[in-house]
Amino acid sequence: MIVMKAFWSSLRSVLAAPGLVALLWLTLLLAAVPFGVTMQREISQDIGASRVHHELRERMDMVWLGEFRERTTTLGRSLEPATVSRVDFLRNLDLLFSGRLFSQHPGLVAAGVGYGLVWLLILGGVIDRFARGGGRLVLSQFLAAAGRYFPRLALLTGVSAMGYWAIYRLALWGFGAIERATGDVTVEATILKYYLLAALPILLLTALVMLIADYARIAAIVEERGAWTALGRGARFVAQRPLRVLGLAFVVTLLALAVVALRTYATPGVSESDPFGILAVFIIGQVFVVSRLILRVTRVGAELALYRAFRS
Amino acid sequence: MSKQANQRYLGSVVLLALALAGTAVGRAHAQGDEGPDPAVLGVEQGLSPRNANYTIDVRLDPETRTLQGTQTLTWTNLQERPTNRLWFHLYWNAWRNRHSTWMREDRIRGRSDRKGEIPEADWSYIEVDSVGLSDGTDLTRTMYFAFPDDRNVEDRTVMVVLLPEAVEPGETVSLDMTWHSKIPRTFARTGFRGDYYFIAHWFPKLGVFEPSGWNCHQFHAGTEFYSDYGVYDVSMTVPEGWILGATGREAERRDNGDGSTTHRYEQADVHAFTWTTSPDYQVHEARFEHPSLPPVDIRLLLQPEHEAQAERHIAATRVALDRYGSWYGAYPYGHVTVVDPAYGSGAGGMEYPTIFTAGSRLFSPEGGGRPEGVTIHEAGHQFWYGIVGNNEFEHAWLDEGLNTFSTARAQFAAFGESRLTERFFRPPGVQGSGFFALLLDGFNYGGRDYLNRVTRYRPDANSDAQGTPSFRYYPGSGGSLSYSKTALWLRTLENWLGWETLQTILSTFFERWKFGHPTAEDFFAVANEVTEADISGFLASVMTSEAFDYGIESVASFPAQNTGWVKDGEELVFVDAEEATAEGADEFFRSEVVVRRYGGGIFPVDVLFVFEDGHERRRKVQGLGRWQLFTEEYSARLDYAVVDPDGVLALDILPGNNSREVEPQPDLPAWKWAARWTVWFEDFLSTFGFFI
Repeated sequence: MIVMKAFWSSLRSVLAAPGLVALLWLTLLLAAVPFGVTMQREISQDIGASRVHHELRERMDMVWLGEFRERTTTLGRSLEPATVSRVDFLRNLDLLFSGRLFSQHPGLVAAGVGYGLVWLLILGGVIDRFARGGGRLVLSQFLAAAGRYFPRLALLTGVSAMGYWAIYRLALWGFGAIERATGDVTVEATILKYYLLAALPILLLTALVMLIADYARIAAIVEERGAWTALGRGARFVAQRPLRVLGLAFVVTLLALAVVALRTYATPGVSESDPFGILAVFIIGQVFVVSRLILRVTRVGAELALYRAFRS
Repeated sequence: MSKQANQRYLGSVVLLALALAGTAVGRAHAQGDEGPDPAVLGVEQGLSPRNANYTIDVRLDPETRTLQGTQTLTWTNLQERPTNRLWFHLYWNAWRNRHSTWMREDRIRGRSDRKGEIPEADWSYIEVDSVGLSDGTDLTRTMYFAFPDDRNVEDRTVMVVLLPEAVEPGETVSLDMTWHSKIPRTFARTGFRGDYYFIAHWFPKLGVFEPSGWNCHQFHAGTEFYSDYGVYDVSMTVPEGWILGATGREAERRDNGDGSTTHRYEQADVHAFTWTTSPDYQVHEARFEHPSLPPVDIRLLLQPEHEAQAERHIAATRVALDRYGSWYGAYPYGHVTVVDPAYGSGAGGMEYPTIFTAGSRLFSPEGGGRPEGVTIHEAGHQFWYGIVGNNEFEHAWLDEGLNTFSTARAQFAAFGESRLTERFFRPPGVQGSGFFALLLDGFNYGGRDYLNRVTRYRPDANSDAQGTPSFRYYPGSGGSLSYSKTALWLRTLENWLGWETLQTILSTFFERWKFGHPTAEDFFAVANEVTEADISGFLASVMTSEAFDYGIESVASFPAQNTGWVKDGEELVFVDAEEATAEGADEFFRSEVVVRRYGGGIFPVDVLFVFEDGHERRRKVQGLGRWQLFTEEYSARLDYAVVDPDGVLALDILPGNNSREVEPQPDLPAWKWAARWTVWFEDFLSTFGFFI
């Protein structure tokens, strides 16, 4: 019950703070739009005076896409059917899971790391705000807190990044070992089962690193702890209450899946050809992005509530 | 060509082999045809010359993954010159080690599925233990390896046997051979995975004796096979209870009482024999019936996990038998075996006479074109490769290209456009594509580009000339020339001459060369003979490495003064400059369009001019020049110009530059795709935030 209570109270508090949500969304939008505009220019320049634009209004001209991807920059090459379809989020998960992210889109990864740092900065302010009980968003206070906690959070993030890297190496080794061990298995379903089973501990370990880092960040800010002490407290908290911690993560994940499913069904196919249709697709995308941000911040608030409930 | 190379490179080796042979060998048996009685095979009259006939007895040992075989080859010299040697392919020696020509080329083409260390148990070999004439004369010591293509002395894929006496034209010689081999973990779609075995190109196989000598190339990574037609009588001993499929029909099955079963298969008028066995196959049977084509029994050996896809495999096979049969000529064998290969076996998508491998995945949603496409393609090879037996070492495009074109046509006619399938969930460090599949709407190859081949061909458009012998192609680009380029120029011919004419070309070629070995020249001869239009220039052009690319370089339209003698209704009137610019004078525009031939390939294309009031004019692009300026005068501005407006030249590598508008309008679609991409990118960035 305490998990649900923490979750709902956090969600209410996030929904009651549209300024905070707007700040997060605008930050993300500002980070993404320059790239989007660059992509638009690249596409526009490539189409030029060609009449291929007629077909591109209705659907993707795959022959043109092939030409474009050969002529364009690294950024342009990320224009793929999967990244402009309604299952674009699956491409991201797949890139992450398969480890192809770094080899396929190194430039975009650099942008992602940059945004991660900005997010980290904001996160300090978000946790601080939750710790102080919410209220009206005062940007100066928010940014001051963000700046104050940034070094600590950055150190914690560095540690968790090393944890993720270790898990990735473990996954690489583990899945490779399964591939070698199943070299004589002829049934795809059996091999898929092995991979899915192997993916479970990998996902659990990833979740563990993520959650320890989450609670360490909370400890660092709520209790004004140094990074290493906070890391120890975060780890202890997760170890002492694994079910509640995982339960909360599970609730958030379920809701995230629901949001993704809704978005998949709500997003029209690629046949929109007028400005309103294009705008509608973009707005639906933004609703999805905002919903995702709300869930992300709700997770922070709920974790903080959970932490406080058991630390007090 | 290769025969000259043989003579040049191998003279010294021959002398050495002769010295090793020591003494003169006994007289070769020139005897009558000793192959199986055609009546036994149910084919009274041979469809093919049947000059290379094999009786093989082979035993599979799954414990050691080896084959032990004996074979009797009966060969008739159909040429007008004698020969005192026989050249054999030993394909499995391509995977003895990393030094073979096949392995070298596989590394060069850079798409080997065997990167990294290859365990000892995965390599293969074939060793000929003895060769002798049927009268008992031992020829074992006359055997030597030859390397006619590249002087790679470490390659052992071609073996020559010296005969004590020449086989004269029309004479027949019979050879007994014993051999053993190690089965590879799949290379080039032959080998094992677990209890699944796909055994192709597995026995010492005779090359083809041609007017200029033996044609017996080393095994190359980018090309396939070439053999004479004959009668095969093959007994395969495998563990009892295992399902077996092979070229031909089963004539006899015998349990040996030692836990093994011998399956005897027979087939006449084929140029190869392939088999597969596994305890896991699920057998499905169906029959193809057609009002004007002979019936065909279809035997499907399916992986049990693909049970739900059985009908899709059979339907696709029926499509191939129906379309190819109707378009080109009937499938004559009365039976075909479709093999659904085991997961990860690497044996999918390969053709052999009366048997072929398709290829599917656990999740293969309907509408995504798989397994339908690959099934039609490999079934189609029964016609182009199986029945018309071109030399795949030298003219791979003759079967691969004709078949790729036909596959696209048959698949599109039967199943419509395929939707793009995206696969997800490929664990890190694991080869292959993802396990889960989703169909994406709005990304299908439709209409003019359903062949889906331009994108694959373009990177290699200026690679080797297509007329180069296929085994000499740069290993990384041979596929796009043989498959994609040929399919595209056939599609161009269809657009240009009409399907009826192209079908006549192909069906005439099929009828004339079935059970024969046509060359490129034979195909061109038929094409020129059938066609009324002069296509010889085009056909010569596609055999070069020149790419075809026409485009509109620039368009402009501006007001012009309509001065001088001007047609006014039926009369000619003189208009001076003052009258032309006076208020109320007719508006008049001059439009200039520059058409360029960016590629070296030449093709008769039109240019279409469309004016703002909808009026259209068509002009021909003339001559051999690299560019041409067209000037049109009309009472409305030019809206746009298109070169090759009907999309006849499917070979055009950059169709995007074929049109140009006076007022470009690229922004809206650019915003459309960029907006979608931006949402994806926000999600991408959020994913980084998710883990922090």
